[in-house]
Amino acid sequence: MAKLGVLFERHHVKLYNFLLRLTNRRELSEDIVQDVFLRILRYGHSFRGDAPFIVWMYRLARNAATDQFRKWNREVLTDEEAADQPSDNPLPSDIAEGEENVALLQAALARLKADKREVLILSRFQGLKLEEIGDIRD
Amino acid sequence: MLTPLWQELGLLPERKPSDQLREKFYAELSRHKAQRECTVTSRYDLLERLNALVDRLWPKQPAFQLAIAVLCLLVGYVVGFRIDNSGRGGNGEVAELRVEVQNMQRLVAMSLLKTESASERIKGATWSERISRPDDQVMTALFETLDYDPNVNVRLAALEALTRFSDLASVRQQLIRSLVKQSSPLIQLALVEVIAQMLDTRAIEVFHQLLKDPDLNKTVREQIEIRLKQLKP
Repeated sequence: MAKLGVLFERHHVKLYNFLLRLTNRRELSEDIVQDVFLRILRYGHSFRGDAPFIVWMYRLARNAATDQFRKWNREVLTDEEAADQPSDNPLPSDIAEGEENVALLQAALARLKADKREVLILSRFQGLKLEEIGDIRD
Repeated sequence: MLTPLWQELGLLPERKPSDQLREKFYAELSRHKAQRECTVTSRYDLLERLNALVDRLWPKQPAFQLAIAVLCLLVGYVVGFRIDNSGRGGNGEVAELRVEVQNMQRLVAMSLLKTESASERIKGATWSERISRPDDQVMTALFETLDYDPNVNVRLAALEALTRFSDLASVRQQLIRSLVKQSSPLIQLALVEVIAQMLDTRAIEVFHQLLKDPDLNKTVREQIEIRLKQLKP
């Protein structure tokens, strides 16, 4: 159990950002992070070590996210929904000129289809290899 | 075009989760830890208590320990004896059931053998094969069918049923006697074959008796002559 604390400290921020970029919801992403680490606690014995821990963790995260969406009776946001969804990120008009690009990128990312956004996030932001991404999405 | 975009994506800042996430996580972790410790402790407590109880009750003197061992042995013997007896009771019930089934099969065979329909009488003969050891009543009915039934197929079915019991001397003797009563060459041939396979020397006399009959079917005659050579020492 002490090791779980170490794992949490090491991975929770990255995991949170993955989920935040995927869902655009802060609170929901935090809930899923919490859920993922509880699943690690419960199902840790099922980790066989044939794939890196991080691959297993992201798999759990995907499953937890799916369960949370089901619980809320919602699917992963579609393009239109994502566009309508009030984002936690500031709108381009609200920010200073220098940060306009960031806002545009965030808006563009949010407009991507969920599965494409997931692959992009895992590759660009989480720094995973394509083979690992394939394993996660299997 | 994609490379600058890929690089620009790096501008997107990494967000920090709220402090509540950490607090909630560690609170949950502590709760799990406490729960697990409680489970382990209660298990340990139970074992400890059990040990203490056994330790308190177990006599210290070897004489008492021996007495307990003998008592356990006796209890085991009595329990084993009871289980054995109840098992036998069960076997008795099975035997009873088997007898009932045999009786039912006998009744079915008898009633079928007495019906007017030839196919039903064939069924009756076949049914009698299911009886592991038919009584005299069934045997008599089968021999009557073999000797006097107007239908050849029924007689053949009866012969087939009787062949199953040819290990009995009385059945062998009656089969030999039945041969002289038969007029159908088909039945005669079948009977000659069955009797020859029984290797009963009492058949020799009956075979000779049949050979004296000038009207005996040629094939039957040839078959008897062949079988006679096999039977003669």
